[in-house]
Amino acid sequence: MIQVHELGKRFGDVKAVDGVSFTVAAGEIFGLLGPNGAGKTTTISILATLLPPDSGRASVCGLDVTTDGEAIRRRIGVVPQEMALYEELTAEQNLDVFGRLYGLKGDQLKRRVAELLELSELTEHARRPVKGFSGGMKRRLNIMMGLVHAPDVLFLDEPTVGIDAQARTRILDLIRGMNEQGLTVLYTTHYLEEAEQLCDRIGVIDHGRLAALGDKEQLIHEIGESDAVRLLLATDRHADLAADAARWPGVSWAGFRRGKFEIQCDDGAPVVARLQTWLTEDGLELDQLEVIRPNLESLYLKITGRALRE
Amino acid sequence: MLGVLVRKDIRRWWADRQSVIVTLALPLLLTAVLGVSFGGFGDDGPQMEAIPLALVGDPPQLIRDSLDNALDQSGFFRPVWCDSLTADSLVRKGEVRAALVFPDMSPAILFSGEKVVFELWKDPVSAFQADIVQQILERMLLEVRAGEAVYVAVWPEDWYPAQGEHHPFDMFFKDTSLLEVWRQVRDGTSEAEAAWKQMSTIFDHQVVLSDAFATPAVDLVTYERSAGEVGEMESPQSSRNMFDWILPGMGIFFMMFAAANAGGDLHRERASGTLRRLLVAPLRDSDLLLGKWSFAAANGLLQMMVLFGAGKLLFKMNLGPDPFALALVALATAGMLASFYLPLALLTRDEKQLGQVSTGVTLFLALIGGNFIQPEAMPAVLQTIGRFTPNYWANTAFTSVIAYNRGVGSVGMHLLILMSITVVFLGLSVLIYKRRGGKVGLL
Ligand SMILES: Nc1ncnc2c1ncn2[C@@H]1O[C@H](COP(=O)(O)OP(=O)(O)OP(=O)(O)O)[C@@H](O)[C@H]1O
Ligand SMILES: [Mg+2]
Repeated sequence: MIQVHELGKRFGDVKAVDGVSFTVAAGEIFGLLGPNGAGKTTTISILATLLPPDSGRASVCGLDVTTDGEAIRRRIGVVPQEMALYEELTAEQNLDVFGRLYGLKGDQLKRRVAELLELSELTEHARRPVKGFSGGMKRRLNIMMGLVHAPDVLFLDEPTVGIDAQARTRILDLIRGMNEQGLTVLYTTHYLEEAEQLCDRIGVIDHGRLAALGDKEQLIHEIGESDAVRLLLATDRHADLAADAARWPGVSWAGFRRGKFEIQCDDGAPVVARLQTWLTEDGLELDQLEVIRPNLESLYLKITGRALRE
Repeated sequence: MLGVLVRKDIRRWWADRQSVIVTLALPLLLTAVLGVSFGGFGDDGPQMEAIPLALVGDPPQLIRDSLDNALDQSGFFRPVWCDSLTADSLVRKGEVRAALVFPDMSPAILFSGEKVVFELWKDPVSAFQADIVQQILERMLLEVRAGEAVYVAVWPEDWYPAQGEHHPFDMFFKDTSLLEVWRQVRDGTSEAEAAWKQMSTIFDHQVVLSDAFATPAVDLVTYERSAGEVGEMESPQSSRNMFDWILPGMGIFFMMFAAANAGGDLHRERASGTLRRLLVAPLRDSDLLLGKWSFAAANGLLQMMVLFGAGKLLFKMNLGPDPFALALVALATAGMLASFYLPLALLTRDEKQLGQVSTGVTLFLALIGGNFIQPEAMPAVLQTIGRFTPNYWANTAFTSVIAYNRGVGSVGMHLLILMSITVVFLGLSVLIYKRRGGKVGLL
């Protein structure tokens, strides 16, 4: 659905996008993950034919971004990072304007607008000027605006910035729902949890370069870190445990680390079961237990050398 | 597509109380204030009061008659002939706006080589009306001087010698009675003969010149042209309703601001991010610019309609003999102004900068293009410069239809010019838009 090959774009001395390549299959949710200024918005702008690339090639729906701009624009929806709504108009009028620009009219337009309002739970606010909306309501409408014409591909540029967890969950559900209907999504964010929850495949971008690309699971595996079961026993029998646990299958190391007893292993689950048996045999009790799985956070830290937070 | 864009902009405009007030309420308020201050809620609207003018002196009957005639006919003056003492007290008491004092026009003075000086006494309290008198007078004198210049150019030897130089005329007019001169000429005094000869030459020249000037080369003839037929008709009466003269200029002035403001909508849409959305919609570049242009033009047209409607209803303003002519002029003006401010909007960084630049431009153009002062009432130099402003053509077109009550034939050229400006500036906008990387420049 989307093909990007060695894409480059510079603004003066800044290489905003620097040789980025990836593909997004139809029906996929692809996450473009990166810190501020990484080049996410620039990449989306090029794909949405708002900016011409300096080098490389890109195509959307099989159409070239530099030559088939208008044809691409008919088939894509864009949700800009910044809110882009007519504040003076009502939610309904906002949707109506863009529906008409994409050639919808009459009953078809009415039905589509009502549908989107319903989907974003804004039906009861349909006739209110957007000016008076809360941040979350505006965000939801902002997304709907990119969907009026039922596009094949949707570009979402950090659609959840600045809203509370509840509203965010609703938006993610919304996107997942639309994806199940066959929409291809390119989603940029700098929230790890979002990418983890939502995306099938992920590209990590930093300083305009793609630092990692692949399946979520595959990426995590690439970090090369194993699971860790961290615990403290109620009575000090940690030395015995260390000696025993080292012989359990799949365990690579056991001992004290960062103030806790840690068992490093390929997979945490069987180790916890084994631990349970070990405890009951000796009549021991646990003071604390946690299983740590490597996640995108660790990947991030590893790639960019900094934590990804707003 | 265009319809959708314009409808959207009008809806937004309507939802934004502030811009409604600026486009409609302010001009209405202005009309009302003008109306009240000129006391015009009567039957015929506020009449421009004829300016009382005192005339002092004893110019030759011919001049006196033609002046009386001209002043009366213009309808703007009420001349009173009186002596200098009376005139002085009338001016001081404010009963006349100005007094015009004629110089002694006897041949002795006219041929003396001294400057002939007209005097104008102005009433400082009503300086505006006195200034009008002054400007008209200056124009007249300019014509006389032009005649003199021609004379000097053709017969430089006739011109008065530099001061102090001896001149054979001296003996005619200095300390001599005409009778004495006559005797000298008859007796053939050598000096008298030379002087006589020279004077005859000058008289001959003047006869030639006065023949030339007797049939004026430049004259004002008014033609009424409608639907193809061309013919000389009686010149339509120019209106004396204050509003017919003032309101169009004011209206256009407000329209200029409204047009600049509408152009600024491009900046507002960029700031609100909606421009981005429009750019990813399947629209052509020209749709975007034409959309804004149509909105600005519609906005200006609406403003005009409200203003003239109020003028008509409340102050019996004249709207010309031909509604079609007025509609054409209004349409051409709205279209022209809408396109005129588009390049400015595209070249400025943001709404604030556009506001500053366009305010300066608008005030300047309004001043020299005749929005505040009728172009005819401005000095000749300014009038010439004014012709290069777009609003000049809008102003004079409206004046022609409304104040002079003329038909569509009188504004043909104006319409042509206004439409040409529209096309040129629209083209310029597209060019700038493309040049500035089109989309990139706007994002
Ligand atoms: N129009 C522009 N002119 C100049 N520089 C630009 C422009 N747009 C982006 N840049 C620069 O390009 C780089 C990438 O910007 P971009 O907006 O693509 O980042 P981003 O990943 O979207 O960041 P964020 O998370 O903050 O939105 C930045 O260094 C930015 O300063
Ligand atoms: Mg961004």
